[in-house]
Amino acid sequence: MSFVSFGFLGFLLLSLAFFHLVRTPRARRRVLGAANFAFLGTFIPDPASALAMLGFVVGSFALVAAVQTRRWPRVLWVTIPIAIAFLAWVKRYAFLGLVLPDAWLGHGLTIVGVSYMTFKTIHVLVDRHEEQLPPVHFWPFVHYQIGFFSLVSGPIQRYGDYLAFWDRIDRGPGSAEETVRNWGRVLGGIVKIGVPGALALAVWEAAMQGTAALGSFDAPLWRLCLIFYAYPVYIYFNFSGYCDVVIGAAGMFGMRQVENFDRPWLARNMIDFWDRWHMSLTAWIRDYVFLTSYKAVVQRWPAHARSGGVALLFGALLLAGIWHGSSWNFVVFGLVHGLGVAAARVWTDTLKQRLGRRGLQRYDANPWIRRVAVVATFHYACFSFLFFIPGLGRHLSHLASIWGEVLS
Amino acid sequence: MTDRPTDRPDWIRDRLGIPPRLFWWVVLETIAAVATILVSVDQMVVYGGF
Repeated sequence: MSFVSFGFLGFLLLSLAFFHLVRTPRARRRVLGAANFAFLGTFIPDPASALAMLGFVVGSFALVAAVQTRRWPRVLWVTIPIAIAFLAWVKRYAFLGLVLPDAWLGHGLTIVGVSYMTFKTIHVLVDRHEEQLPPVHFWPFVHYQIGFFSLVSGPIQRYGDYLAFWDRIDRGPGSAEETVRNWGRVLGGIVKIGVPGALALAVWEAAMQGTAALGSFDAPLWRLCLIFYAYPVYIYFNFSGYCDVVIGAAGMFGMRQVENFDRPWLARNMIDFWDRWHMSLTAWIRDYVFLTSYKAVVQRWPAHARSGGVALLFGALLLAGIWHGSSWNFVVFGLVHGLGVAAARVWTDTLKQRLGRRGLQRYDANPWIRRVAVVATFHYACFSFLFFIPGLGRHLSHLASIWGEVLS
Repeated sequence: MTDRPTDRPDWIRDRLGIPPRLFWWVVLETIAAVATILVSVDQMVVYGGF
C-alpha cells in the first residue's frame, strides 16, 4: 500500500474510528491486530512469501522463547547468527553468491521490512537475555514485529516502548491539539514524499537519462551536479516523510513512536550526521554493535582502547552500510561512512590533544568553522549517496567528470 | 483611541480546543495532501525496507 494514497488515508481513518469506538483492551488489541494484518497483506505478493513471513515471525519468537528458557548460557551465540543468516538469505546479499550455490539464492521471496524485524529480534534477544525486558509473550511480540507504525521502513522501536503502549491500550484519545498535530504530521509526511521527494527523484532521473545519452565525460557540470545533489534530497524527503506519516499515525492511536531525523543536513561531521539521520538505526548500531564490541576490546586490550574504538566505529558504520542493501555498492556506501565517522573521531581526538578541552570548546563554538564543517559534511554525505544506487562504475565516472570539470 | 486586543470569543479555540494557527495550518496541509495524492504517481518508500 502506498502511503501517498487515499487508500492509506481511508485505512488509517477506518482503523482509528474502530479503535476508539471500542473501549476494552482486548477489543482494541483485536482491532489493531486486524489493521496490522490487513496492512501487511497488501505487501505480500504470493503464498510462498506469506509462508516465509509467517515462518520469520514465528521463528523469531521461537528464538526469543529459547533465550527465555535460560537453559544455555551461550544461547545468543546460536540465536543471533540464525536471525542474521535468515536475513542474509532472504535479502540475497551479493556476497553470499561467493559461498553459496546459486540455487540457494534463486528464491523469489519478498518479506516486507525483514531488515527492521531482524533488528528488533536481535534487540529483544539481547535485552531479554540480560533481563532488561520482562517476559515476552507471543501476541505482543507479533504485533511489535508487524505493526504498521514501523513495518515498512522502521523506525526501530524498542520492545519496552511498544509494551508500554500495548499494556495501556485502553487509554482515551489524547487532547484535541495533540490529535490535530498528529494528523497534521501524517499529512505533512504525505506532502513531503509526494512533492519535494517526487520532484527530486524526477530531476535525478532526468539528469541521469540526459547524462547517459551524452556519456559522463561529455555531460555539462550542472547536469552532473543535479545527479550529485538530487538523490540525497530525494532519499531525505522520501524517508523522513514516511517517518512523519507513521509517527503521526502512531500518535493518533496513543503510541509514542521514536523519532528518526533531526535536521541531518546541519551536521558538522559524520558522527553528528548519524546522530541526526536514521537515529533509531544509529542507536541500535551503537547499543548492539559498537558498545558490545568496544567493551570487549577495552577489557582485553585496555592499552588499545582509543585506536580500537576508532576501528570499531569504522566497522560499525561499514556494517550499517552493508545492511542498507544487498548489492556491492552498499559495501562501498558503508566504507565511505565508516571512513567518515572514523576520520571525525580521529580529528576530534587530535584537536582535544592539541587545543585542550577549552580550546576544543572555542573551536566548536566558532561560527565560521561550523559553517565550513556543515557544508563539507553535507557534500561528503551527498558523495556517499552516489553509492546508494546500484551501478558503481557509472557513479565513479560521474564523479570523475565532476572532478575533471571543477579542476579544468 | 488606541488599538487593543478584542475580547471577542475565538470560536476555533472554544469549540475545537486547538490554537487557531494550528487549525488553519492543518486545513492547508489537508488541501496540499489531497492535491499531492491526486497528482502524484505511486511513490514507494525506498529506504532499506525490503
